[in-house]
Amino acid sequence: MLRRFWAACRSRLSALVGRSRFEADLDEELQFHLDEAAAKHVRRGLSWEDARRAAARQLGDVAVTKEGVRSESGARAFQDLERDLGHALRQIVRLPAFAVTAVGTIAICVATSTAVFSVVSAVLSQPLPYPDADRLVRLYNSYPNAGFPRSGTSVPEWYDRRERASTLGDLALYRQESNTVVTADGGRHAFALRLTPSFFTLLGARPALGRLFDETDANTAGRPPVVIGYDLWKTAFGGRLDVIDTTVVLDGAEYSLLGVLPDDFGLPTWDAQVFTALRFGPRDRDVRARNTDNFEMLGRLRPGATVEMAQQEVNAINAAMMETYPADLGRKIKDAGYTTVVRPYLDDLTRDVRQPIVLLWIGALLVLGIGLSNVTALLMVRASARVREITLRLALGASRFRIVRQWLAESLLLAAAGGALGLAGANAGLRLLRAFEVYEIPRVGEVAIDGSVWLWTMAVVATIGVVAGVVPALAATRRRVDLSLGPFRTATVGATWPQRFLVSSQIAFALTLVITAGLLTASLRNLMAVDPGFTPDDVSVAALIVPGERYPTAAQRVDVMARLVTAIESIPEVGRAALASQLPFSGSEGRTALVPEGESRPTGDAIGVPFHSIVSAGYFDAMGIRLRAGRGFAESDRLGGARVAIIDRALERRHWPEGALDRRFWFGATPGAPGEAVTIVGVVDSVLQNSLRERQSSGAIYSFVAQNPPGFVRLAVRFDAAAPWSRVREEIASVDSGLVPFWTESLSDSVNASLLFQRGPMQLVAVFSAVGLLLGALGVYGVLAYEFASRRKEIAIRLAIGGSRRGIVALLWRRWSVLVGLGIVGGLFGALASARVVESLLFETGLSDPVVVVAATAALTIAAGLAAIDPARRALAVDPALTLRQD
Amino acid sequence: MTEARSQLLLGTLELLVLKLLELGPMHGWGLAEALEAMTDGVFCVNQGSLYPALQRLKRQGLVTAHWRVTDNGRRARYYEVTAKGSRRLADQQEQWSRTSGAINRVLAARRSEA
Repeated sequence: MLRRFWAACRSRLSALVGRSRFEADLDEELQFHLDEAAAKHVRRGLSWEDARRAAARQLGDVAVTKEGVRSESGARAFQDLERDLGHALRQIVRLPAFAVTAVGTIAICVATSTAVFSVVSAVLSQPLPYPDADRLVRLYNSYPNAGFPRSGTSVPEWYDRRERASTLGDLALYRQESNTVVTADGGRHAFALRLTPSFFTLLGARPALGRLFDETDANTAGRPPVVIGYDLWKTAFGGRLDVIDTTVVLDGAEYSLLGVLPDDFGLPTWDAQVFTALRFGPRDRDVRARNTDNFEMLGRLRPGATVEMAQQEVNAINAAMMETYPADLGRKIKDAGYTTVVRPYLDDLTRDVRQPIVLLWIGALLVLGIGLSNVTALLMVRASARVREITLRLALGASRFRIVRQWLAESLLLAAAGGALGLAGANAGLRLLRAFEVYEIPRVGEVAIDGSVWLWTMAVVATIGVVAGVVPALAATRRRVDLSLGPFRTATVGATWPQRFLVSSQIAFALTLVITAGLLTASLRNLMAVDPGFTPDDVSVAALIVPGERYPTAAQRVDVMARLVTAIESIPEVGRAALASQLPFSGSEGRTALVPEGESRPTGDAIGVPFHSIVSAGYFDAMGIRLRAGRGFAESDRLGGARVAIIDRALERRHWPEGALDRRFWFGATPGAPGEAVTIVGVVDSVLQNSLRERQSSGAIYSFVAQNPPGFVRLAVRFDAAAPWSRVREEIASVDSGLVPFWTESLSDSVNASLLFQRGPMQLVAVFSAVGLLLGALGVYGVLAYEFASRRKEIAIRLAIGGSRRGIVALLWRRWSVLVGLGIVGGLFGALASARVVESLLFETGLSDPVVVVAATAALTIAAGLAAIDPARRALAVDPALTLRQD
Repeated sequence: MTEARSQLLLGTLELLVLKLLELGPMHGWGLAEALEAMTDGVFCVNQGSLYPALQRLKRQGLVTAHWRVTDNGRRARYYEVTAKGSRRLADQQEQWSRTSGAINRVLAARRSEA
C-alpha cells in the first residue's frame, strides 16, 4: 500500500519535474505519428500536401490528445496548483505596495502571537521537568486577618502531615539560603538549599556522582554531608571525579561532599548549587515552634487524591493540632485567620507572572484579530477591483470553486511569506528574552519554538490564509452574473458591509489596546510618583554573610560589624554606610509578631505581623528615612543592656495611637518575662517594603545590631560621589578576607525591578497598541480609498448635474463617522472587558479616569482622520468632464 | 457515451495493446497500424485514446517506453511489455475468453435450448 502510494507520488513528481521533457517527448511522438500517417498516404498516391492534410484530419485534435496524455500522467493536480500559484504570484508582484502591506501585517501578527504563545506554552502550560509534576503541591500558611496572606511553614506541621495525611505522599521541607563556599582556589558565593532528604525523592533527582541524602544523614554525628550542583562541581571542583568525601568549607564550617547532582536537575526559580540536610531536635517539634514558618513545604499528592481532598485533610489536621496550643497562642493564631493553603506547584510558581502573561496573550490575540481583518479587508478591496474579471469568468463558465481556489492560492502565498518572516521575528525576539534572563520570570530559560509552537504558528498562518482568501472570494463571486448589464460594468458601488464591519472591528480592537496601554502607563506613572519613605538615589546595596563559625559569639559579631562600618565609611566618597538584616525591596520579607505590654485585645482582632529588621546606627541616615520622634540607636544601647527598638509610624498608629515613645512590647505571639520586654526609643517614617503598590504599611520594627547581631546582613552604602564597589570590597577584605559581598546593585534598581511586572506588560501593550493603531488607520484608508475610487463616476455625475462638493464631503463624512463611531463603541466595550483583566495591575486609575479614555479615543480618531485625508482629497479632485469621458 | 461502455472500450483497447506489445516492442504509430490491419479495419484507433492509454499503462508499470531509431532512421518511442504487463495480459486474456465465450454461447442459443 505504502509502496504504491510512493510510486504514485514519484510518478507525479517526475512528471512535474520533467514536464518540459515530457512535453517535448510527447510532441515528437505525435509528430512521428503524423509523419508516418502522411507517408502512408503518399505511398497510396496522394500529393505531400494532401497527405499531410489527411493525416492531420485522421489524427484529430492534437491538443485534445495531449491533454488526454497529460491527464493520464498524474501531474494534473500539481499543474493546477502550479498554475494557481503562478497566477497568484503575478497578481502579487503586480501590486508590490499591497503585497508589502499584507505580508508585513501578517508577519507582525505571526511574530507577536508566536512569541507570546511560546512564552505561554513554556511558562504556564508545559509540565515541570519532574516525575508526576502535575501532582506536586506547595503548602504554605496564610494569616489573612493579620494582613499576611502568604507565610512559610513550620517543622511541627511537617511532622503532623507526614504522620497523618493520607492524601500526601512525599513531603519535603526546605529553606533558601546562600553560602560562601571556600575551596582551594578561593571563596565564592553560592545559592543554597537546606532540605529534608525527601526533597530529592520528591523531585526525582538522581546523583551524577556519589549519592544523595537519605534519612540517616539527618542524624549522624561528624562532619555533616553536603550535595553540590553540577555547575559548582564544574567550576569550583574542576569536574574532578575524586571529590566524594572530600571536605567542603561552607561559611567557615566543614562539610563532607556526599554527591553531585546531574546537569539537568534544576529548580525553577532558585539556582541552588549547595544542598545541606536539615536536622531537627525535640525543640523543633515543640508547640512553641508552631507557626514560626521558617520553611517552605513541597509535597506530592498520592495517586487518586485531589488538591481539594488534600486541602480538607490538612484543614482537619490543623484544627486538631490547634487543640494542643496554649490558650493564648491558640487564640491569637486563630484570630489571625490561620489556614494552610494547598496549591498545585506550577500554579504557585507562576502566580506572579500568570496575569501579565495572560494579558500579553490577550494583546497578541487582539493584534492577530486586527491583522486578520486588515488582510481580509485588503484582499476584499482587491476582489472588488477585480469583480469585472470574475464576473466575466463566471459568465464564461468558470466554476465558483475554481475562482475561490485561485484566491486561496494568493492569500496562502501571502500568509506563508508573512508567516516565515514572522517566525524569524519571533525567534529573534525570544533570543532577546532569553539573553535578558529575566530572573523573576520562572522557567524563562525553557521558552523556545518547539513542536507545539510550530503547530500554533502553522494554525495561525493557515487561518489567515484561508479566511483572507475565502471570505473575499465568496463575497466577490456571490453576485449574480447579469449579462444584461454587460460584463464590463462595475457590479457594485461602494464598499460592502463585510468590509466596513472588518474596518470597524479593527478600530474597536485598536481602541481596546490603546485604552489598556493608557491605563497601564498611567498606573506606572502613578506608581513611580509614590514616595517609598526612603530616598534610594545614590544608595548601593549588597549582601554579606558573617559566618557563625568564624564569629561564634554575639560579641564577636558586634565587633566585626562595627569595624566593617568604620572601614567602609573611611572611603572618602562614602557618605554613610549601614548594615541591616533586611532591606526594603530586597525580595525577602522577614516578619515577626509582637505583643504590646499591658494590651488586652478583644477576641477577633488580629495580631499584627510587622516587618522586622536588625540595623546599625547609621541605617536611617544611609537610607534617608526620617526620624519623627525620640532618638536613633546609640553607643549606650549595648549587648546585654536594656533592649531597645525603633518602630515606624504605622505600627505606632496601630498599637499606641497616643504615642509609642518609652512604651514596651515583647517579640512573639505571647507576653514574655518582664526582663525580655523591648523599649521603644524612637519613631521613624513608614517605608514601603516590597512594592510601590502597598497602600497600607503593616508596620516595621527595627532592632539594633549591637544588641542582636545577625549572621546574614545587607549592606547599604550612600555615596556622596561615584565610587567603584571594588573600593568597598577592598575595605571589607581588609577587615576579614573571608567576607565576600554579593548581590550588589543600586537601591533604585531594586525599586525599579519591583516594577518589572508593571513595566513589561505596559511596554508590550504599548507596542501592540501602536501596531493596532497603524493597522486600524490602514484599514480605514483602504476602505475609504476603495469606496471613493469605485464611486468616482457617481461623484462625477453628481457634480455634473449640479451637486455641490460639500455634498461629497458630507457623503465622505457619513461613511467615515459610521466606520469610526461603530469602532469606538466596540472599543469601549472591549476596554471594559480588558480593564477587568488588568485590574490588579492598575494603580490609582481606571476606566473612570476620563483623561485616559478621552486621550485614547482622541488618538484613535485622529489616526482614523489622517487616514481619511487622502481619499477625501482624491474624491474632491474628481473632474466630471474627465471622469465621465473615460470608459 | 455512458460510463459502462467507455470503460469496456478502454479495457478492450488496453487488452489489445498489451497483446500486440507482447509480440515485440512497437511505437504508437505501429500499434495503430497493426490494430487496423489485424482487425481488418474494424478497429480504427483514435490517437486521442491510444496515446492516453499508453501513458496509463506506463504509469501502472505494465509497459515501459524507450526512444529508439526506426528502420528508416527516425527516432520513435517504442513501448515494451513488462513482466507485470505479461501477467496482467494473461489475466485479462483469460477473463476475456470466458466473457466472450459466455456471450457467444448466449448469442448462439437457439429457441429450443431456451
